[in-house]
Amino acid sequence: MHISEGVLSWPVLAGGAALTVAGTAIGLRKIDYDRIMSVAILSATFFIASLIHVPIGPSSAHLILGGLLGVVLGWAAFPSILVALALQAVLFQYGGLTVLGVNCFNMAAPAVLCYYLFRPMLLRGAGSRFAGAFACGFLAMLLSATLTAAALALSGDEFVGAAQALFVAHLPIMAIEGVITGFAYSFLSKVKPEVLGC
Amino acid sequence: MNRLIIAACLALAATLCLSAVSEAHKVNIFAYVDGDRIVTDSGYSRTKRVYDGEVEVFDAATGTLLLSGKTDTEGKFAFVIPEAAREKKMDLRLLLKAGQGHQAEWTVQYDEFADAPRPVSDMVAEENPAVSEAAPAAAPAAGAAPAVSAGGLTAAQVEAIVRREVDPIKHMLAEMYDSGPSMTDIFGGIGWIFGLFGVAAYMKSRRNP
Repeated sequence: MHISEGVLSWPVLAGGAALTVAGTAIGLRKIDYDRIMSVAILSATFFIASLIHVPIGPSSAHLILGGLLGVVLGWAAFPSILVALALQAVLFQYGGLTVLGVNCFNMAAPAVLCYYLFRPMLLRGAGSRFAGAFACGFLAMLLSATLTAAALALSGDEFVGAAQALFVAHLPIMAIEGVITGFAYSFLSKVKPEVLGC
Repeated sequence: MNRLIIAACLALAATLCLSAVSEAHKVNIFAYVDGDRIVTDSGYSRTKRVYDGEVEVFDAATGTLLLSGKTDTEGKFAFVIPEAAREKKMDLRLLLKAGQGHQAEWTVQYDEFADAPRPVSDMVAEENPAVSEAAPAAAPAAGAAPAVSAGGLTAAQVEAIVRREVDPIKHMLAEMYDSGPSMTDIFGGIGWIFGLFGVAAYMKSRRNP
């Protein structure tokens, strides 16, 4: 879900950049520097995840793992995703530098939202853990698709069409993300719960 | 702790294997002159082509839209070189809109098509590709005929032969342009990430000893 250079209008680009700067500032303040390596590892995971491409329909879709980043990192998802996206833009020409703000906000904002929505449920107990993490991965991607469609709509594309296309193309990926997030979270909570801060 | 390290290594190895077979995500457009036409080739990767994407052709200098069309199932869209482009010596800017925010562009310089042959007749644009497709096929037959025994080929026949020979090279160039990120890029990126966060951790640790 990388929006390419030259698709969006200037007000949307500026708005996205401003929101990302704000989010990153909050994220940097909230990072626990004793856990900085988990931020780095998840940033690297996000960087790699987008290379795992699932061919669906006429478009191109790939994993994001936003939900996993969100539920583990909280606000630190912003700097983590920003670094990974900047490197993807520079090294692979995915997205671009002017759209970095919008792309980062589209991935990181749902991640942070999932942190607040699912964190209490995930900390409660083992029973609901997999289901909660699945919902988290699924919802993060759904919201990212919605935000991307909104960004496209604000620049002239018609929202309903773009949203439908994105939703249909990403529906199977939302399920895959949910499963991966579910397993990753359950695994981490068993093997290394301190990463999750429980 | 040891179990975690082993698990992490296995997970990383699995991810890297997956990424090796994965495909590039950005969208590409590549264009070349083929006879009196310009052929555009669009794809997300070598195997995944852009189907039904919109290609718009602009005058690079003024930004005027000259024509537009849709890519076929192989990601190709061909159009006859517009007469206006020859007259005004335009560089052509080709813009591919693949939908959902995917976009790419390619510029065809005037020099590339300055000497291109003009359309054989005044047929409508859709019929022209068929004409130029037929030309190379006809060339060998014509070559075996009296033209060779007479000791010479017409300019059109030579052009047809050269075009046939150069075609695979053009396809190869298009494929090279479509290649995705290499292993070096991927490892380099991971290295950058750990490096950046390492610097951040170091700076922080110096500030609060």
